[in-house]
Amino acid sequence: MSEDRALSLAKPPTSAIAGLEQLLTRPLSESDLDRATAALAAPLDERSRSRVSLLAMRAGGEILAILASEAAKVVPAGTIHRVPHRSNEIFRGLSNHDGELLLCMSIEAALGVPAPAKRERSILVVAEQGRERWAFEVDSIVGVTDVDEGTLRAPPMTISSAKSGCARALARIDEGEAVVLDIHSLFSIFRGATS
Amino acid sequence: MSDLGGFSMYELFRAEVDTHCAALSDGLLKLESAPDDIGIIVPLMRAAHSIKGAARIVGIDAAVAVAHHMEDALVRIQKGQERTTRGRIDQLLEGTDLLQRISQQNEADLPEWSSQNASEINTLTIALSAAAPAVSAPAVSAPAAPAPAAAPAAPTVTPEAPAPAPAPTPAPAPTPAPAPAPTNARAVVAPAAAPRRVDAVVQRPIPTIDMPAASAPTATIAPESRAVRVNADNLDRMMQLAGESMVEGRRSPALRRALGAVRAELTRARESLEAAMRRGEPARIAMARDAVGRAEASLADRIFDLENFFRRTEEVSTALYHEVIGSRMRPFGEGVSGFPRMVRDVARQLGKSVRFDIVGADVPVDRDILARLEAPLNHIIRNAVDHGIEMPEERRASGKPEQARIVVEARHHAGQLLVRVTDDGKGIEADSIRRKVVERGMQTAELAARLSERELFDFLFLPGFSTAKQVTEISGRGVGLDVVHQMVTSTSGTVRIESRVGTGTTFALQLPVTLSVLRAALVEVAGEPYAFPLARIERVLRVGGGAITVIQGRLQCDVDGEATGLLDGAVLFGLGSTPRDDATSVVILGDDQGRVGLVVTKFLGEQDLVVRTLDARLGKIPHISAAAILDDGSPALIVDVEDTLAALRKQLSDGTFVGMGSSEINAGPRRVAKRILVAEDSITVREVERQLLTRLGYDVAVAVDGMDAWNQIRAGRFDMLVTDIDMPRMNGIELVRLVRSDPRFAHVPIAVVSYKDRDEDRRAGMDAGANAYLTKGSFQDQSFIATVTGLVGTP
Repeated sequence: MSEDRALSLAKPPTSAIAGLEQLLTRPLSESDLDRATAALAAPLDERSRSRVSLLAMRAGGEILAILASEAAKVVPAGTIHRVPHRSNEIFRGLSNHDGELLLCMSIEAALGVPAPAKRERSILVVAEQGRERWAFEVDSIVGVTDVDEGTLRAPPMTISSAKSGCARALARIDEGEAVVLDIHSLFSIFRGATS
Repeated sequence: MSDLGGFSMYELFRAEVDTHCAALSDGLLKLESAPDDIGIIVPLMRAAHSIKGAARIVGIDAAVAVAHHMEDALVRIQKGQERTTRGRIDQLLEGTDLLQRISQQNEADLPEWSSQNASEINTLTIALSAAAPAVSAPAVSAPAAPAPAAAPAAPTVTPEAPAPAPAPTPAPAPTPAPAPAPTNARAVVAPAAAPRRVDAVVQRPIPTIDMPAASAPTATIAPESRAVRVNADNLDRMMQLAGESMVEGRRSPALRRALGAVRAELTRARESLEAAMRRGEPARIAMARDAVGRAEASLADRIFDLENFFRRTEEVSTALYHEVIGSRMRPFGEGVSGFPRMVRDVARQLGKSVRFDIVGADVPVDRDILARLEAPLNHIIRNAVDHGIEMPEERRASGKPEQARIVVEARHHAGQLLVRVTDDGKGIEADSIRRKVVERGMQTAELAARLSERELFDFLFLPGFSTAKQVTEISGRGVGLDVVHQMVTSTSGTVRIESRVGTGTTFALQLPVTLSVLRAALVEVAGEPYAFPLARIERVLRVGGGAITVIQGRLQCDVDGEATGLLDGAVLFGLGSTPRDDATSVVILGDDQGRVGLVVTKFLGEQDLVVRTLDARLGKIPHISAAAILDDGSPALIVDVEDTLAALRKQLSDGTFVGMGSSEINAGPRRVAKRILVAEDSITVREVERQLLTRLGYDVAVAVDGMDAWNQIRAGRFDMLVTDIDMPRMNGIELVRLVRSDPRFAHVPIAVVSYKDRDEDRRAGMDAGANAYLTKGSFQDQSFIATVTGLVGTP
């Protein structure tokens, strides 16, 4: 799945509209076609009941995912301004996007996985639950993937304990094994890092 | 309660009551001055009627009853069935106050509040439905006992014939009712058509949503959903501009296509020209050149279109920006609408006669400034009535009109809001303040003699100065002028007093027109932009290395002949230190208690910034007040100068102040040593480890057991933890587990150093989350040092 495709989740910058048009009108890959066909071919109640839509991303050398419904937007990361006496390993600082000053977090530090020294091109995922919003940087977006809820597996104890209990499940997607994050726990870590 | 447009019905009711009560209060005072002007009454009837309707919708019966009886009383006056009397005006004003109080209650608290105030509500509604009292109104706080047959004659206080005694004279009893008054204290509230019994403010239950408990936090208005008033014209213009902005935005695809077509045209023309030139055919070359010329002309046209598009977009966005800023503005009169009533009440209580005028009621003022102005203005005006204005006989004796005058005036001048409160009272005696300054040892007699009037008046703003009784008597001013000063300076404004004995006093406040836009000096600290409100800094300057000297190990420079200590901005913000070159950039901050120079990396310029509130989740950030977005879209933080100076003073008094030391001069970027925490209960081993690491250049802190280490880790920042296993209170394994379980410290490398060298001990340490497990013999064979540098890097 290409990174560009994932960027289509966000409102694109005006300059990228032509590229976006090309992106949206490109032919579907075989795997995408098969997946969409299978989903459409499934009985209605099964389709509505068992599919889970995930936003998958790469960070800390792993594939992480959150429920697509928990993703408010995905935007190119801008300048992050540290906040005196508040910024730390997890809370990186403030970033402006469309006039909104987002609290930017390090997902790697929150999960305790190694973070790159410097990202060549980073992307900001804005996760939302109720009125609470947090943004975190990732290396790239894998894409939005529908998975059968029944195929989700519980994370091994070593992962769930090592990653501060944020691993909600493991999902097998085309690109590999994705760790589906529990947004409650993740937000709880974020809150702790800014308080 | 159900929502409407994101706001609860109760919030809408509250906003409506605010509006109509302001109109009622204002109109009733006018009616009192001109009792025969029946034209004033219709808007008042309409206001009472509107409140009644709104209260009925939200189900607050007491407000319905009060508004209904007020409306009835006004109708009787309008129809000539009764005369306008001061007593009736008092009742109607009390009704207005009561409605305001009802609307100010938390929704969930209303039932309890209403049952506590049912008697007052009933008494007032009875009084309103009774014949108009001639003078002072019935005291609503009086017991709702059977009414006497006639109202006792309270002293009449009129501007023409002020009462001799300044003390307020409470009305002793309720006004008599025309019909026999109910004997029950919980009286029947009797609108003519349908008498209703009001035992309490009852809210009708809304079936869809559970009513919150009285003490539930949900009863309060969440900040996110607060309603603000926006001028309707302003809102219309914003909508027009937003629409226009969208229309403009939609032009961009067409422009882009047109530019693409020009590019294709140019490409074709260039290819034709190249082909013609290869073939060396002059006619074709000429044709190709023509084609290039046409393409260039097309390009020029498209560039013209594009420039128009950019210009138009900029115009629309600028206009939209100004409209949005303008939406924060409210007319000055709205913020001072309660003062005529206050002046009337205080003057009547004191037996004084005061005319109160507002000049510039339409002047637009930022809503935040307006809200902050209320308390200081209230204070100044109340003091003017109470202490500044003389008693009528005194005024008469000094040849002044008996009726005093207080004027509150607002106007814009040079981008500032000027508010002046002027009274024609007795003025302030500067010499009395001078004597008091000397008596209190604040200045020597010699120096005090040289102080100007203005300098002397400034003493009145000092905390405690005006609270002294003697000063109050001398100056004729009340307490708490320091609060006025505090509010004004908190908005980067100024306040000064002008006064002439026997003529009067003026308080002149100069404030920013808006708090939303800030003129700021932008600087760079630790590689990031920070903004200082221009009004809050004394100056900025570049200081050459030679001009910086050392006093007691601290750097200072000379500013206007005054030795000024230097403080590193990056250190203050906890962001390392500022590298310095030949000239040091310094922002001079100060107030009446002193000044300090804040060293920054460089100056970036001056800019108007739209102030953005910081996310509440961050709490109060030390030294930072707000944020802004710069022209390039990057965020900047706005420095809280008051907080910075206050923190500095605290550090000085605590002895924790870290000014810039002499070693920092021209030292270039300072490298901060990595910080290692050593947790070890044996003092000998602890000291060995500390010395080893310190010798290598690490910054080492020590903890005497696991608990101590855990507390230190949470309070500070460490790059590494070195811990023993066997320790009192909390052992090393527990400590490592705790550190690893907290995401804030999960990345911190941990080395366990223990006497225990069995495999199972080693496994327990590593399983808990340690990165390395060493025995204490490692001190001899360099493996300790190798492990530490391997895990955390060089110091």
